[in-house]
Amino acid sequence: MVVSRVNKPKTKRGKRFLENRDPKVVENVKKAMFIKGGRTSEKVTKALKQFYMLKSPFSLMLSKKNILRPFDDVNPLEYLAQKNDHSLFMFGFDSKKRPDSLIIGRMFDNQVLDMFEFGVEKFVPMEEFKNEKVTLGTKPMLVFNGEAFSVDPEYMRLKCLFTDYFRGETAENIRLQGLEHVLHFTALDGKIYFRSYKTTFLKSGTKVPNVELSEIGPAFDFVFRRSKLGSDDIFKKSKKQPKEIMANKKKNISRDGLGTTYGRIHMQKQDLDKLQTRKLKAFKRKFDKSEEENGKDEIKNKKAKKNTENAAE
Amino acid sequence: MVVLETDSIEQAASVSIQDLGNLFQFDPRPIESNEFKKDPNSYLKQACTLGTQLLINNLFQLPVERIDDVVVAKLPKPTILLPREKPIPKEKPLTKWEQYAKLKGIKKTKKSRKVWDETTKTWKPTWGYNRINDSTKDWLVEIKQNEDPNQDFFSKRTQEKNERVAKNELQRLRNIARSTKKKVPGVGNTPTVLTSTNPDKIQLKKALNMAKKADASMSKFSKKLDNEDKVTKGLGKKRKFESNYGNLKSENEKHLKLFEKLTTTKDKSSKEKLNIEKATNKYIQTENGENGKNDNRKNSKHGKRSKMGSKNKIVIVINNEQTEPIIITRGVKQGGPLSPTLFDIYIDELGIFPNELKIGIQIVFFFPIIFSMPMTLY
Repeated sequence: MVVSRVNKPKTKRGKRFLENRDPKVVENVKKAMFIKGGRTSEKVTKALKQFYMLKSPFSLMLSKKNILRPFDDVNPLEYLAQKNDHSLFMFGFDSKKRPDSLIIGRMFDNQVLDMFEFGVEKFVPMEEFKNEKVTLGTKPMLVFNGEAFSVDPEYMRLKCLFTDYFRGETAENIRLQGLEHVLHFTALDGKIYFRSYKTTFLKSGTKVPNVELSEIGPAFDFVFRRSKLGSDDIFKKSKKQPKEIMANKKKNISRDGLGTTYGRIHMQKQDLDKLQTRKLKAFKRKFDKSEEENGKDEIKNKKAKKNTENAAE
Repeated sequence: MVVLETDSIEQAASVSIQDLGNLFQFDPRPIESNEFKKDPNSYLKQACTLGTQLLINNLFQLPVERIDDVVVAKLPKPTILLPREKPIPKEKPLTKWEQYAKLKGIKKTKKSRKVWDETTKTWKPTWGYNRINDSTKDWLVEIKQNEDPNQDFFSKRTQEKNERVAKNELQRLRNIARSTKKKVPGVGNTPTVLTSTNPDKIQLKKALNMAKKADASMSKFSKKLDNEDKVTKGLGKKRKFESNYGNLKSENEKHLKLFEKLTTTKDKSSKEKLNIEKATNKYIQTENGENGKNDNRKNSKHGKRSKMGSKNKIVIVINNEQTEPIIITRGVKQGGPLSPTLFDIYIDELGIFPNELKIGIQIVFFFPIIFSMPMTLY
């Protein structure tokens, strides 16, 4: 389903490029762009780089300065997203009022759907954990902890955002031994703790192994600062799924626990007058006396009429 | 190493929410802050180990397949609905030809991309570059009987081809314009019409009218021909004005239509006609703006309007007795298309009780400088 454009692409390659950016039934993996603000501290720059590495290969670093204020004006940000075709973003900046800030957010249809601002309080980069890291592009397991993620609507949305941000490629099959990366999010007292671990499977004697974790970094302690949620209307719209993906619901068919299939049939009201009952000789019409007589009378009348007419002629 | 107790695993498993399709695990139990403060890092690691173990427990129960010597588990579909990146793709609008073909039941027959060429003994594409039967490449052109032999038939052939290409492009643009509900541009006169030996009268008329308008002044200062008005009569646009003595019925209909348009939303799927939430929000916003920040420069417009409104006064006369002037705080917009109807609706209610009381009411409007307007209700 290609959007009809006024300016046709001149090459096949250009056409393919544009087609890749069109809305699709099954979408591409969401890509993230990492933007440096007008003034950034070393901490923020490093943090951006860490997330860039975590998110690769679906990430893009915009290392030039971009003087933006996403909470005041989203337009330049939306322009960047549209230009690069990246729907997730992280924006880092540093100011006196809000030191070491990261804004994390996502877009729908090149419009900001929601964004959250955090202050980086504590930060340990990947390099400081001297151990083996995970392979690039592994689908991480996402573990969330904390009451706030189920109570506070802002945190609930944040949970949704983090899942969207870090879940990686959608997969039908997964290699069980390849489950080696865990991202851990904990919400407690207005802070969010971000940890990243590598798993090792230990033999347990059963089919399911025991899990041991070793921290590989990066580790962040965030302070929750501001948030801007898009309107429910847009959010609802963004959640709408195309018909092609939705499983075809078969109507009026149900199954019980024993595996019996039931079908529900809707019938029109039955006309009992026309119902065919058992055929009996006694119900036959010619035995209906009164009707017979009426019929005879009619014939008589007709004959009489004819006679009068003839007489008139 | 973190050792997990089976009790704690079972307890956590009963409350936690999982989405195996996204490899997602969430434990909604509150965190014990005392324990956490003692050693945050080890506490977090313990919590994460528990969560991961729960996830792994369920993942290893999934049906397993072997693909290329690798054991692979089949993930269920994600249960958490995450927002899409882009809206749902719309179906491509039909072109005019496709519409027509659909109506007539014309179906596309599949054509093979390549055909065997007997002369060169190769496969050649049916269309496009290096195609079979390429008429533009023939070195000989047949002259038909009734054609003028003294012209360049080769250049004529390429010109015709170019025109066909241009026409196709134009039709493509018109299709786009129609599907986006923009104004469809007219074709005007194609060169074939003008170069034909005997164009008909209407075509010539059209051409003349077009040529006249095709200057910078849009024919305002172009030279007039002798009987031009006669020739180009009925070709220009005619503006229609309504008569000054309005038709009440049509006016009523027009207002109703406008009202309908205002109260229906563009989104046909939503049942609500008015977006009440948005309207109330807007109302509250303007109210706030007027209350607190009147001296604010942004809201100066609101302030002015309310001041102007406060100067309008009315006096109600009941049985020749005047009341004190009343300041009008609300009203309908001057010159608004809906204003008369809205006023009628409002005043209709007012008109009921004087009827019952058998008294007359006269309302006099005192506008600050301009005029006062008496109005009588019976």
